Amino acid sequence: MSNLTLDHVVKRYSSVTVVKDVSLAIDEGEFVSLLGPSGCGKTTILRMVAGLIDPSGGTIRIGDRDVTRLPPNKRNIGLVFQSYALFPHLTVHENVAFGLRRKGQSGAALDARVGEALAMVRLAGYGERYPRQLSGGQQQRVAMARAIAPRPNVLLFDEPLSNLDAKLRDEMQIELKRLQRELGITTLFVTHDQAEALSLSDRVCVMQDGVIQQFAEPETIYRRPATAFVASFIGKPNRLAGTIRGGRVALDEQLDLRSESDLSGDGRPVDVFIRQEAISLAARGDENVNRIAGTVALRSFSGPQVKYVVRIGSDRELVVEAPSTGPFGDLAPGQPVMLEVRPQDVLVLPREIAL
Amino acid sequence: MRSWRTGILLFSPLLLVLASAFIVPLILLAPTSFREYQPGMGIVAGSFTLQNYVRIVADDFYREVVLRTLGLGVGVTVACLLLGYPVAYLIVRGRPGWRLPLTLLVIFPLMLNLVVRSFGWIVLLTSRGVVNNLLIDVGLIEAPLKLMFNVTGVTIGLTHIYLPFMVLMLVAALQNVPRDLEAAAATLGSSRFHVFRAVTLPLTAPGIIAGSILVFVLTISALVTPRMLGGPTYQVMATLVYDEYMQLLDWPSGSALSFALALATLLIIWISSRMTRRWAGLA
Repeated sequence: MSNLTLDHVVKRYSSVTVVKDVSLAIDEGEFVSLLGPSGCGKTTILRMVAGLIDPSGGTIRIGDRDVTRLPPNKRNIGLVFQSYALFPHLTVHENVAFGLRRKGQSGAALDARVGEALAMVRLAGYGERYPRQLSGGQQQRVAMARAIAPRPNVLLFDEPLSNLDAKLRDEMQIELKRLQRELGITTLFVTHDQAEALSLSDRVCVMQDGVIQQFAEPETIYRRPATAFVASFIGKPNRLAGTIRGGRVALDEQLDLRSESDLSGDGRPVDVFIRQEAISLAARGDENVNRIAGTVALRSFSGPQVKYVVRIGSDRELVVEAPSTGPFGDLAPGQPVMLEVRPQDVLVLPREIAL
Repeated sequence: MRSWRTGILLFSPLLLVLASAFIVPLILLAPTSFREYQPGMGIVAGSFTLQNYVRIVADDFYREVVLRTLGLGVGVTVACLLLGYPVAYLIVRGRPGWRLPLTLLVIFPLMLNLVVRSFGWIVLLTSRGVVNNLLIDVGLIEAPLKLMFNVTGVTIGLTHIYLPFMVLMLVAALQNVPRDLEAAAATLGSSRFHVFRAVTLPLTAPGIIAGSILVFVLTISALVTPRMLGGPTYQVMATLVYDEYMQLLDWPSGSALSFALALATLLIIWISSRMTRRWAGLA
């Protein structure tokens, strides 16, 4: 087990730079997610750590070893692919044994380690089957067993759950978290699924266009996004243009809100993010809360939740979520409502040019 | 039921062509192969003999031709495989920009007439040909090597002609090997050579076998190239069939030999397809 350090890592393809000067330090035994939309460079970083792509600049260290120029087979890593990448011509047992054999293990010791790894992913007794005889979830677990069996210094996951259906994905998330905790292996997990990243990770690294936007604990990412990109990418935010006016953020002439974000610089144009789930239709009787009057413009029912588009101020709209079983489950369009938003849920960030 | 009918409908144009141009002549040929032939007299009407078939295994001359043909088939197949695999690998795994030019380069010989290509090899391989003259001029040899009218010339010529088929089959097989599998093996500690041996090679086995069958079958039934580069004395089964029909007018013997050739081909295809299933573990 070792820590993983990326130091000013850059990847250029002829004219395009997909990873721009990324520095990242992952502690020993830590579970870190790289989260971002497709094309943000997260998979490229993972593949550079694995040694499958050569970085154009910078250094990658596993423990105190500089692995930047080492081929993948000399790095002692475990990689789990989105496609599972199980060897179709080998049995489950031989798939899991593959890495162990490369380390010179054989005989009873090898069988024991394979059995142990398969037991960890709860596939004991599946050794003689071929990958094609297993379901997607089982194949994924074999891929994990194969990656952990040689006891790698670093585990890498490349969107390992995105080929599974939603229910199975939830189960596998828990499985994966449990496994990583038990083994305590430093883990880098690439995903575009924010819920997955937030629930699994010790820290999340949000990326956009090859640049790290924020690297912090999940709660911090959610509650105090560092940039407008992070605020718009995480959760289901409403985004409104505003201006700083006298220690408050003004949405228009009549409407201004309290916020706990940085409100310095009078007249400064800002972006205001209010998450759908942070807006309450019910009066909470709190003096300090922001109250916004509006009218229901649209109702959209999606089972446990109802979404309303509420018109506020002169021409602004907010999307509000409410439990469909609650008292505000069936508001009709045209009905006036009073929205409440706590100041800490009004996220004010410097205006960025259109995303 | 419906898929059955659709299948037959889709297959029927080919079936019609095959039936009229291949199956019917074959059936007509079958009785001929059991007739007796008397030099100077022709086919003896109403006769029945197994002699034409017995001779193929019993007669030294025939046996030699059969073994030579099969040996040539193996030689050309192995040569095509050894030369073709690296090329196919380069096409699939090399720079994307090289793929089209390389593929065209591989296919290009197919656009030239077989006879022209064989003549080309004659120019190169004859005792006063380009290759021998070059080797003598450089001083590597003193007397010209015998590169033609023997197994060397025929093997070279046939390898050149059938290499594209092998390469195209191997390209298809290599394209079916996901790169993630090779990457997975590498992260598990495999050197590049071990990745090839443990992952790429076994997963391309179906393509290797399919390409080998194709080249082997084409080689043992080739007529023009063995005739041109092997000369009148270097006989393989196909040239012998041709001679027996056209020179000796011994149709019964020629027919029997044709059937033996067809039987050998079918046998080899059957064995190889069983091998594919076993090897690749992908039944």
